[in-house]
Order: sequence, then structure tokens, then C-alpha cells
Amino acid sequence: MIQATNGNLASALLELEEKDVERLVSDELARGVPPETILEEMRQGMTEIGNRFAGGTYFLTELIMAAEIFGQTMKKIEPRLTGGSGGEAGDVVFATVKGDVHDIGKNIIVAMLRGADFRVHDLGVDVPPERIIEKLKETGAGVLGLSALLTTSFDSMKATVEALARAGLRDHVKVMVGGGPVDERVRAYVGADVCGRDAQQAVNLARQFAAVEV
Amino acid sequence: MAVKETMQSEERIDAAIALQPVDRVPVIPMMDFFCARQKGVTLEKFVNDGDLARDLIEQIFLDYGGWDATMMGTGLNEFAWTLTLPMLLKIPGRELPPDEQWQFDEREVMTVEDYDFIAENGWMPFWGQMFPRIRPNIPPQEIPERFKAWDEQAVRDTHKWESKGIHTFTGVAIVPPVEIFSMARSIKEFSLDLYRRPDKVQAAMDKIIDELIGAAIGGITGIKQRTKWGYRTAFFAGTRATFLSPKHFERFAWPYIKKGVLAYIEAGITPLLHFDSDWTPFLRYFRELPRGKAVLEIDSKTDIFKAKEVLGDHMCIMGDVPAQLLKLGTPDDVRAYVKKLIDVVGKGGGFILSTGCDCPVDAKPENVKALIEIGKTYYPHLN
Repeated sequence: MIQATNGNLASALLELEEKDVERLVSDELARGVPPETILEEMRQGMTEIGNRFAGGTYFLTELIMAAEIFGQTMKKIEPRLTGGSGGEAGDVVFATVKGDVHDIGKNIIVAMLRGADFRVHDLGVDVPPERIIEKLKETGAGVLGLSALLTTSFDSMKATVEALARAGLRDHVKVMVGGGPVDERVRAYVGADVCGRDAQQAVNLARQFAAVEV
Repeated sequence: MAVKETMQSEERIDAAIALQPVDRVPVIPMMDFFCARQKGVTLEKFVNDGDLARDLIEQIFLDYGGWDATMMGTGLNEFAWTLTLPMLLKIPGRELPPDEQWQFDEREVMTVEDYDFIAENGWMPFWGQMFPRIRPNIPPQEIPERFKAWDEQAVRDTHKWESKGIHTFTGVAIVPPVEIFSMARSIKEFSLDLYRRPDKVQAAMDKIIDELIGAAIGGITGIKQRTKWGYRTAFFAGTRATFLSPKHFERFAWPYIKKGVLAYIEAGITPLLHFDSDWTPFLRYFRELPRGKAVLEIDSKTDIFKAKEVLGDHMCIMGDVPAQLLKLGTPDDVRAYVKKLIDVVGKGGGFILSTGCDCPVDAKPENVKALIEIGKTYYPHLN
């Protein structure tokens, strides 16, 4: 079997060289490298980008650019994947809670989770608890991410977690919360399991939860 | 140790900015929606009636025993925001329920091609084109009268505060190009622009920076000429610059911020760097600014204790009681946090106590009272 590129692709992604990634992916596909191999290498690059972000050497715009390059590559190779488009790492439901329309942070985390092979069900902004419950039931997702920028949204987060309990889902779903003013005090108030400081932490937490679930 | 006040508020503020000794730290919380909520007035009324908004803030000021200056000089309304934050806005009573705070709705209201137009023509010609995209509800022919009304409101507000002997701390904003473009393009598209078309971005920034500075200085001077004291500082907004890598920060953010700050200082204006988000990795840059001439106001995302370490001998720091603490904590929690701020950040002077960005609408009143009370009475650094 033809193997991939000795890490050239991952390093091109790491350096955010969009054109190089594009060229390498086309070359590899033309050489007959399996799309799964290419995807795996792209994921390795994304993991390293996440690590650098967590370590303070990469910044938000670099995450956004990396997620864009990853998304473009996925578009190209997805139709060629034999085993579906991934989601091996597990299902995550994600939303900005009711009363809050801010989604910059949420969108970045969703992109990073997808880069880490999670199947993310992004419900958008201003999402009421009942829609979240419905989606959790429909997908069987074990992880719920809630985002908020406003202090008034803490109450929406709390209401969502309470609705989860009423629906009998609380023991099966790990809840992570994040956003500008969200800290440990807020986590305790809303009754979530963890609060995350940034996108990479959200990915790490989702991985931990998925591992426990398995 | 109980405080014995020996300075007037304005002396205290000026001393803190100049890194000189003070009798206690100046206390200047950023109060807005909270005042309406406490007085049982809907936010819809608050955002649509500048006189009412000012009166509500004044009532809370008096109820809570006062503080050293009122924070914002300019009544903010949906028109005023267009001059500084080019984004769609959801308004209470229109897109939102009547008692919810407004929220910016970031969309791509500026295209890639617009960079070229801006590089050619400047900011205000583009602003005129963009206006219907961000305020489709306001007919463009109303712009001159809306601007006039807002300007008169600012003067009227300042007069009203001055008539009570109260200074206005800040007003009129300059928003650096990196912030403006990031909002108007959307953070995602702007981030991609930095990689895909950096020269276009820079050309547009280079074109507009002097225009932005000139307009802001003109605004500040205009207020000063028509009021007794004017504003103690001029507002300088920053958030999104922190999303950039240091390499991009040094090309697209810092040179323009620095140019604006130096121009303000040159014009005899004290810049208030109202810098939300996490500036911790960028603190060292502020040492390039003249000592004791500017204020760094941070919102609790920047590590304020680190800021003191890096900048304490160089620049006044203002902040940063976190919104979540004011909403969820107890008065004891607030007092403990404020004491720590005064103990550490207040040591050696150069500190102004404030809320981290604005006081949340749903803060507990007893927490806000605790902030003000302990801020005005606790100062262990004399002698």
C-alpha cells in the first residue's frame, strides 16, 4: 500500500501553508495514497496546533486558519472516504444557550472538535433547553457543550442542566461550559461537570469523557 | 486602616494616572444597564432615552454614596455604536424582549473588495456605504440629525454631571483598524484575510489610521470646548488584537495602537486603553508608551497581577472585579477580591478600581455596594 508523506502534510498544516497543503493533498491522492491516511495525517497536524495553542505559542487566528485549511481538505477527500466521514471519537451536542446570540467561541470549538474526529451536532445560538434535550436523545451523544458570553446566560445554562435531569439524561451526559465570563464559580452555579478555558481544553475534555464512555 | 480623604476626586484620579501617591484608590465602576434594572426600568427604555439613562445612573450614584467620576460621557444608542463598532445590533424591545441587554450580531458586513475601496477612499466614505448594511432600519438621510442628537446628548450629559460637581472619566472612542476590520469582516474572515491577503489589509489600515485619530481628537476637543472639564481620559477600544499571533500583532495591531496613543498624548489627552480579553501575552509592548501618561483598563481576562508586575512602575492599571463575581459571589467574596486588588495592584499607586468592563445587569446590588464601599475605605499603603 502506498503510504503518506513522511509528515510533510502535517507540517504544512502546522505552518498554515494553505497552498502547500492543497498541493500535497492533490499529489497524494493522485499517487493513490488512501484518503484515510491523508485524513489521519491532517488530524495529527490539528492535534499539534491545539497543543501549541494550549501552550501559548499559537493564537486564535492561527486556530481559525488551521480549521479552515482542515475543512477545505475534508471537502476534497470526504467523497473518497470508504468508511464514512469520521466521527469515531464520539458525538457531541453543542449550543450557545437561550438568550445569547454570540457564537465566535462556539464555532471555533466546533471546528476543533471536528478536527479531532468528533461528530458535532451544532445547534447554533439562542437555543432553548428542549431543543438540546431532543438532539441529545436523537443522537445519544454523551457530551454536551454549552457556550455563553453574558452573565444573564448563566441562568439559561442552569435551566438547561436542570432540564437534562428532568429528562433523565443527566447521568448519561457530561456537560461542559465555557465562554468569556464562565469560570469555576459559574460551573458550580449551573451544575455542569466542567468548565473549559479555551478550544483545546474543550477538545481534551471531550476526549476524556469519550474515553470514560467507552 | 480606615481612609482619611485628603484629595478631591479629580486630583486622586490624576495622581493615579501619573503614578503619584494617593490618599486612597480612585473608584470608577462602569455602570449602565444595572442601574435601569435596579430602578425597575426596562432596558428598552434605557437604550432609547439618553436623558433617562443618565438620570438612572445618577440615582444609583447617589443611592450608593457616590464614586470618583462617572465612567462614560457619551450616551450610547444604536446610532452611536455604528461609529465605533461596525456590526449589526439586536435591540431590546425590537429584536429582543424588552428587558434584555443589547447584543451585537457579527456578520460579514464588509467584503474583501471593500479593502481596496477603503485603501483608495478612506474610512468614512466606506462607513457611509456600510451604514445600511448594519442599520437597515435607519434611513441614511437621517444620519446628520442622528449624529447631531448624539453629540448634543453627550454635551448635555456632561453638563448635568458637572452641575453636581462630578467629573466624567471617559468618552469618544477611537477603535484601531484591527478591531474595526475584525468586526466588519467577522473574526473568521478577518483571520483568513491576514494569511490570504495581508498586503490588502495593511494598505487599508495605513489609509485610515490618521483619519480615525483625527476624528477622535476632534471629538474630544469638541466636548472640552463646550463643557467645563471635558473628559479626564479618551476611550481607546481593544479586544480582538489579542487574537493575533505576535508576528501579526506586530504588523497589524501594535503600530496603529501605538500611533493613536502617542497622538492622544501629544494632543494633551490621556488615553484610556479599555482593553477587554486576555492581553497577558502582550503586556510588555505597553512599556514602549510614555510613562504615567495612559491607563490600561482590563476586564479580568488579562491577569491583573501579572500586569502589575510588568507595568506597575510604568502605567496606571484599572480594573477588574469580574462580572461573574458580581453576579454569583457574596459581598464578602467581593470585599476579599477588592482588598487583594488594593493590596497588590494598588501598592505604590497607579491603580484605579473598577468593574471588569461594565457592571453586569444582573449583579447583586449588595455586591456592587460592597465594591464601592471597600474601595473607598480600604487603603493600607500610606506611609
